[in-house]
Amino acid sequence: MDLTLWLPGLFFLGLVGMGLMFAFVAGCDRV
Amino acid sequence: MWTLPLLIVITSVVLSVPCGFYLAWIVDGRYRAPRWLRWIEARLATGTQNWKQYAASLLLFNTVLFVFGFIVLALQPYLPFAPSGKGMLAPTTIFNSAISFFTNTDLQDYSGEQHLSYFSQIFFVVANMFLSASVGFCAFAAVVRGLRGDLHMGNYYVDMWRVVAYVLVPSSLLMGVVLMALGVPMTLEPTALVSTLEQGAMGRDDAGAAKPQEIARGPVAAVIPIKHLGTNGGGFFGANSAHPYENPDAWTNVLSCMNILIFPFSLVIMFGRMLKNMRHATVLFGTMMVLFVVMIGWAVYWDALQPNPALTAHAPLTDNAGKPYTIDVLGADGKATSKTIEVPALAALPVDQALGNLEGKELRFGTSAGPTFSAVTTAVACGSVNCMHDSLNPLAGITPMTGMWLNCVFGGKGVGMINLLIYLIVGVFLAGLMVGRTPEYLGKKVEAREMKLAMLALLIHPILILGPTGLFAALDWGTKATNNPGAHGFSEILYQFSSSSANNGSGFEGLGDTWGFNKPSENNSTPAPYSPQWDIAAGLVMLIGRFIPIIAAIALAASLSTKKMTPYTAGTLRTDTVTFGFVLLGTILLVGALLFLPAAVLGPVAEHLGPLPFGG
Repeated sequence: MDLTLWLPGLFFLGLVGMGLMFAFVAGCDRV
Repeated sequence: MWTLPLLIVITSVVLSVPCGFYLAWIVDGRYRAPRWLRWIEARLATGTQNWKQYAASLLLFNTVLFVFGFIVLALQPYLPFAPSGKGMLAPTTIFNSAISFFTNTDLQDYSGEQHLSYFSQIFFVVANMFLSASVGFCAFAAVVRGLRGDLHMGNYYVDMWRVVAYVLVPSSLLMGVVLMALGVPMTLEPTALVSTLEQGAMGRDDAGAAKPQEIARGPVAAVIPIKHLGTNGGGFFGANSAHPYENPDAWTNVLSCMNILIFPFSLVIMFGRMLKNMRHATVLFGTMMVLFVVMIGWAVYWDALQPNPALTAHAPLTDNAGKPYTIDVLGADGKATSKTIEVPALAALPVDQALGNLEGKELRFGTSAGPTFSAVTTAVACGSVNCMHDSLNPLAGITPMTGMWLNCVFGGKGVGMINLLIYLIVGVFLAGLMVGRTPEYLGKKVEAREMKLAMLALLIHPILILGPTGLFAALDWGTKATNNPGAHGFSEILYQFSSSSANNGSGFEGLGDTWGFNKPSENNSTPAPYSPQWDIAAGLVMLIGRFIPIIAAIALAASLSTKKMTPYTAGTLRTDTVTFGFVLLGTILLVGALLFLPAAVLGPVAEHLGPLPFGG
């Protein structure tokens, strides 16, 4: 696999996933 | 046969009582630590937190763990403690592993002794094992504080410190010493190279000299205790607890099972102690124990007391004239009788199935050890294995799947009880609807907001299992990665996503999900072609499946904590009676069956009934 593409891409995918969890906290507050 | 599971369960139950009292003492902060430990704790105490602050701290901490894990694995070739010079894993494997370990799943799309350096094993695997185990613990502590009406949820960092410093580290140190005494290696020496008795058994090099056998070893005794005590499951070796260095004999096997069960059992006691309602905790404990015993009994019966149907369910072979082969056998009365020979189609030699299905089992543990361990490890979301789950008889394979689907039969540390409380809220709601009363739990009314949060926590799990399973089963991503055709292949796909969503980490490891090192030349075997898809999909499922239930449950507990106590009346549904235990049991079985029975029928049940009509 091309490291210059996959490594940063997957790193940010993980961060985006965690960002969605933070958004879920905010969403639970509005339920 | 049955002595082993009875010994494990009874000993774990007995030990869980004092352990549960100890956990409550620690979590409530009623201990007095030495001054230097109090100094550290004081630095971490950033003040009491409401539920949003607690959840945000938990997520922030886990984000840091992800970043740390990703960087350590990406830099593996350049870091010290790598006597065997391991290369860099494939990026998708790094992604999957980083998520896997901080979510306490420990799904390993790699083989530990082949692909990880000692630095990665110590600073990535072990560190994540301690810290991720504490996350569920802390979340449950926050939920309990909310349920008992505390004004705040505590402080996440203080809870984390208490669990790591006063629970996991001491217990792991103790078990590490015991395991070393029983033969588990602990060394930083590189792989041992030994000359085999039969020269050239390992092949020959280009010069024609016999290659030595390479025996992997390492700091194994540092990993195994927290692997089980923290219900992590990620093994040092690819064979996990089937490997003789991780699990040398029957006694280490018993200890391993007890280590896996002790904290999930104790957390129920802790719950009762913190709420000052041991009767209620006893009802919950009893309900889960009923399910747990049935799961173990089912697995042992169908795997250790029933033969492998693939080796027995065959019509006798016939000769060219269509007559079955026969053999004359001398009976006890001295007379010869003719018996039809039944030759298993899969084996050149007849297989003795008197001890059940022994394929994929380690005999040093005993015949029922494999299915017992499979029930134990999947009930409490541990994920370590001492046998090949892919080799379990079809109906026996339902037990580990059920443990992961329900995810509340004791379940993982903290999150198992959280899941049980979600089922409990649903059960209380259903019971309230049936009698026309506003549902209540612990004197607090369960209203629309609580039910919405409970539904979010409850339904994300089956969505994360069934959606991806259906997608992968319909595409080459799944069908070309399975090791077995038909229904068993479907079971492999279903199991992988069940394991990921439940943060279990075990697998039906016939599935081709391993790429290995990024450079193809460094790999001993061909990378599985669809492993990037598996790595990414399972990684996202693990991440979402871990935090959605935790966050929703913390929010639910905080919502209940703000409500006024409703006085008990004659019409209140009591939660400390056997009747309530049956309500809870019925809710779990009903919801679990509705959600997962169709998938079970397509996989393990179809395989059991096979080969027609599903071609398994």
